[in-house]
Amino acid sequence: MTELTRRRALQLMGAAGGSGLLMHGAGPLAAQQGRALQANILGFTLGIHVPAIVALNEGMEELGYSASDMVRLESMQAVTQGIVAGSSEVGEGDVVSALTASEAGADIRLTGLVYNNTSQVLVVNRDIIQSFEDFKKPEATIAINSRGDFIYIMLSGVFDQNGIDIEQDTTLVEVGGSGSRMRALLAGRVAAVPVHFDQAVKIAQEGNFEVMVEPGKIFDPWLSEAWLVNGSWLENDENRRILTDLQKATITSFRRANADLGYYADGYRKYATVKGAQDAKDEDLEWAWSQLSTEIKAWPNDGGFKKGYFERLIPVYERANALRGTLDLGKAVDTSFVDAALQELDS
Amino acid sequence: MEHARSGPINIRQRPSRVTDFLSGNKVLGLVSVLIGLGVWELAASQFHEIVLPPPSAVLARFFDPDFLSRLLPSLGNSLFAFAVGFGLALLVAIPLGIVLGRSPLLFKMFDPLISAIYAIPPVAFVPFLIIWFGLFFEGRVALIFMMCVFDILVVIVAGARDVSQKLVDVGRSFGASRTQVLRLVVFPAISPFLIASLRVGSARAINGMITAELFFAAVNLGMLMKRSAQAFDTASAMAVVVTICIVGLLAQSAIHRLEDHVLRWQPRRSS
Amino acid sequence: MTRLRRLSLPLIGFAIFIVIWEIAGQILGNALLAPPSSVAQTYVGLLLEGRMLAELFTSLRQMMIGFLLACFIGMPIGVAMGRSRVSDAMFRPWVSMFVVTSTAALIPVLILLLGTGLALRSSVVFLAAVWYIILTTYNGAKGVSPSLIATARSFSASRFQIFWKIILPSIYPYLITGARIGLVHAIRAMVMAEMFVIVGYGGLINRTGLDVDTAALLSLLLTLMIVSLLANWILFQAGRLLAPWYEQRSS
Repeated sequence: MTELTRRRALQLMGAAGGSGLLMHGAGPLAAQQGRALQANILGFTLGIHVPAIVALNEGMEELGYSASDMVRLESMQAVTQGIVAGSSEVGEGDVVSALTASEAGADIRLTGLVYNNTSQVLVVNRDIIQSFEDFKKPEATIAINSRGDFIYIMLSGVFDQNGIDIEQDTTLVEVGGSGSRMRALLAGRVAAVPVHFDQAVKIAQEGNFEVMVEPGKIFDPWLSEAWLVNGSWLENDENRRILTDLQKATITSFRRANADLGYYADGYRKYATVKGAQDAKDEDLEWAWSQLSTEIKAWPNDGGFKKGYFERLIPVYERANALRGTLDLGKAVDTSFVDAALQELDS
Repeated sequence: MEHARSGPINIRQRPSRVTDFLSGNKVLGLVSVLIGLGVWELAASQFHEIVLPPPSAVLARFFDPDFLSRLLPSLGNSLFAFAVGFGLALLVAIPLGIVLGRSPLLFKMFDPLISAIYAIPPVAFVPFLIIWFGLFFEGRVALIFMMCVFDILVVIVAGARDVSQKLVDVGRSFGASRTQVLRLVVFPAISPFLIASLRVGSARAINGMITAELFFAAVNLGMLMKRSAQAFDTASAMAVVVTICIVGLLAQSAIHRLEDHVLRWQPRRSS
Repeated sequence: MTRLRRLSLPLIGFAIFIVIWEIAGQILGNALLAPPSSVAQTYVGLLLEGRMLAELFTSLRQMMIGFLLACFIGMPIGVAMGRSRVSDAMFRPWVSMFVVTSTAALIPVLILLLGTGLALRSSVVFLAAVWYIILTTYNGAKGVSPSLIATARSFSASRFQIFWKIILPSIYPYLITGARIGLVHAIRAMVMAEMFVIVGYGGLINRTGLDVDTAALLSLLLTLMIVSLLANWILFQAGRLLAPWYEQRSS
């Protein structure tokens, strides 16, 4: 066990009587002691990702495996494609592209939550946009990564709620590269861009920029990223065991992160790819942590992974043209691993 | 093979169209491509269609009227940006290249700088181009320009520096003015390099055309590729790539034709 | 030209560039284009921190694999294409098609096929550089004077001797230019591939691009420029060393 969990686990055991914060239940099969899971993850680890990434490493170690082999990829699309291609065992991928891939015929399965909702916010140039009506102006361009993104779907939901049709009424451009989008906003080339909330704070210092929409606080629940696997990988019993253990590690990590700022801060310092992350102090991270844990509810203590949640989201995806309507949800979403993990943890 | 003959100038032997065809140039090329396609088809059987679609699937896209109706207008728009960007690059790089090539002073002053800027991948440049030129047509043209101008410049400079001083001296000794030297000695002498620069430059510009559409506001072919990739319709995405390859082939072929025409008179240089 | 003049001229060129950059940077501000004065400070910081150079050397070392492969394969193909109609006909379609394919468009496909390790990055570098090397060499090989070859034949030179003594010296400038162009494309492709898989120097550039302040990003790009210059200079000197007689042809 590493510094991170040993110290924290002891503290938590003392403090909260350890309820739900220890990992009970069967560990790895004998043959899998010390095995390292191969994982494709996103190139950037922000605050919201921290509990899941800690689970991949310290969490798995605590259960008897080795820390996972993490390969970082630039886009969510690439992670999903990697799983389809079988180039990795598990992927930290986005739910929309995984469902799209499944609908297109790929044998890809969503098996657990990586985080709920989003820490992205819509930052606008207040010189151009003061209210939702202003989005109808031709110069009020919104730059997003791509229309298949979950942030696009969230935004279209928010805009709907405010009487704006994101496709008909606004000028939307798809620009790859979050650096490019941010510069475009700063240079006055576009009027609104979704960014992560810590970036939003820095952008606001550069001019008349303000956070206008916080989709994370509007929707609940919203499954954003999930643990993806390839269906054929699941045919092996050992793989199924390690996947259940991954869910246990993730859920336990969620619970610990919710209960203890220090746990979150340790993980942030170790894994976040934000500039200056290694030196961030607990106090500096407290605001973001409370937002993520309480306001955005990014880390549900019960794993937040139920078929019902998906069923509610499918129509939203279809209206946003991300899905065609032929998806076999039963095949794409497999909650058995989360269910088993919960049983083992709470028994 | 015997060289030379007709006339006092040593004319490079150009076989007629008929012998060209009969010697199997085109046939060989076709065979080569077919072999490649065969290898691709074999490889694709090892992978899921989303990962590597077989050539048959990609080819089928070109017969899909829905796909074609999106492909052709996109291609037209993309090519327009290519034409503007490439044209501008030629207008700037050819004169600049000759100047830098003929003036050792200016060459030494700016060559390192040009090489340095050339080193940066276009992807890294994009945010800055967005700031200065925006997300749309002007920005894309700027990227296309940047991606081919240095290549053209490097080749032209090499050509201009390569012009034999003897030829220039001979021209001067006949009382030729500077412009005449330029027009009648330098230009003809660097024409092989001009053609080479067109080859490389057009390739870079076509490349830039699609890169720009992937990194600026997605439009035209880039948008088509993105959409297809999102929908995990890899066959369509590859069909777009194949379209660009065909465009490239046609461009190189056209330049080859131009070369045959322009360099027909070119005497072989003896050094 | 005196040595002093030779060294001072590029410096003048750079000086002009720096002045323009400083003015533009002051107008636009750090968030849009940090001026050299800001970048200099950040640059020293990055140097001392060490990561910039460490990642750079790893990336360059790995790039050499793809680049050398591109030279060893590309140059012979280019010569073959230039001297043999059969080779020309066979390779031409591939060269024409691949040279226009955007690396950015190919990388996602290659990642699927090759993963994200060294094999991928070497292939990307190879695919980016080899076509330019082929094209440039091809142009040189086509232009070899037939009268020279005929003369050599009349002296009963063997095919190898013709290649070594006539063809090679003739195409020499094209080989060097081809290697120069190829190397720059190789470096660029390496960085681009690394921006996709977030590793090495390209990964560093990718992440630094998210800072609001452009000073660090520009520092990284500056280092890249210096590296490329150095590489160019080395190739140039190597060219002169191997064929000192070539320089006398012009000026």
